[in-house]
Amino acid sequence: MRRTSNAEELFARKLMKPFREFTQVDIQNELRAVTKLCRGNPRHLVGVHGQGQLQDSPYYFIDMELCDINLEEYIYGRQALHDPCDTRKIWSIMAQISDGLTFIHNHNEVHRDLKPTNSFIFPGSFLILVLYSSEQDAWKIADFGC
Amino acid sequence: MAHFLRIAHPASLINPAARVKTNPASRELHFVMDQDQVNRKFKSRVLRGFATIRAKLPKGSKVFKVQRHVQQEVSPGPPKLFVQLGNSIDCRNPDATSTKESQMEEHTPPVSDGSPFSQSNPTKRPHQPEVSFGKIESTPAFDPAVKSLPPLSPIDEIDRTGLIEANNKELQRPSAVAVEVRAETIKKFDSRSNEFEWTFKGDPEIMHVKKIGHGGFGEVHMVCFE
Repeated sequence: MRRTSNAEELFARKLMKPFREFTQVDIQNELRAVTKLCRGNPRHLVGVHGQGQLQDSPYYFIDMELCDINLEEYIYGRQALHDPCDTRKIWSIMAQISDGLTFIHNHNEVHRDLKPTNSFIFPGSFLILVLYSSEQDAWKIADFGC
Repeated sequence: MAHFLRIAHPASLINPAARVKTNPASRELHFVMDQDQVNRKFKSRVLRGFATIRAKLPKGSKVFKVQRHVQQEVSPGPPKLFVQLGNSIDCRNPDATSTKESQMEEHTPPVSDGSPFSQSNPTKRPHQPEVSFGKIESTPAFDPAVKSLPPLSPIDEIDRTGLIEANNKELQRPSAVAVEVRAETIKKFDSRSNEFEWTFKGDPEIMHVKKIGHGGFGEVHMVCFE
């Protein structure tokens, strides 16, 4: 178990267990991919603070950067507010996600679960994001599903 | 000073008269929905967007819904969702926000008296400055039907949707009670058992904050180091 975050810092802990088609091999593959890809905090991948297996149990965890909103929430939120993204913003989002995907492929890995709910924005105050989003927002890929 | 944001349901793509509207007379977000003009899939998406917005609103915010059957008794207009914001959401200018907060206490009319739509009344209070609401104020650029329309004044625009008339009628009926809404997605999320909660109890370094997601893989929790 490895922890690199500061005290009082909020983060997201993903807890996983083998279940049906999501086997222990899948979990271990994801942990391996996380270890391999998130070393050095690449810009367009979600940062990982620690990962491992809970003591005396078949459960695994990954401690990640905490974000407030994913791409799906962003799209639907903007849609509900009747203020859809302009073309420039869409290109910016897609370019950043593509950069993250390129990084994964350059390390001989494949993201098997790329979808809007696995793309997050940093930093993430929802109201700031929805009402006054800027071009400086960083979109990152998480949950590699390897 | 307070914020008022009237947000049209995307059904306004069909009915271009309904648009995003802002009004500085209150600090509410209004979602105007027309359930008859949208298909089920699109409605569920929009409701999901509403649920997301509500989940992310500042602390102390309240979300209400005017029930459809109540609305039908009053007027054939669309049902409405409205949100009372707990905090100012003008994030662009923090200094201005604090000023607005102090002014808001003086000018914000009470909402809990069951008359939430009193804010849409075109009569304006004295010494009430106008507030633009950033990007929301602008006409949606992706709506070709709306784009082709000539610019309208806010009051005229609301009149075209018949909302002022409906709202005024509703004010005369105290039975139009605002009911707090919980979206189905949120209900489903809350009703799920917290399967992994035990994992935090034995770890003195981790403080569990809340559960923020789940899936076939397991769960995602917000935690922090103590």
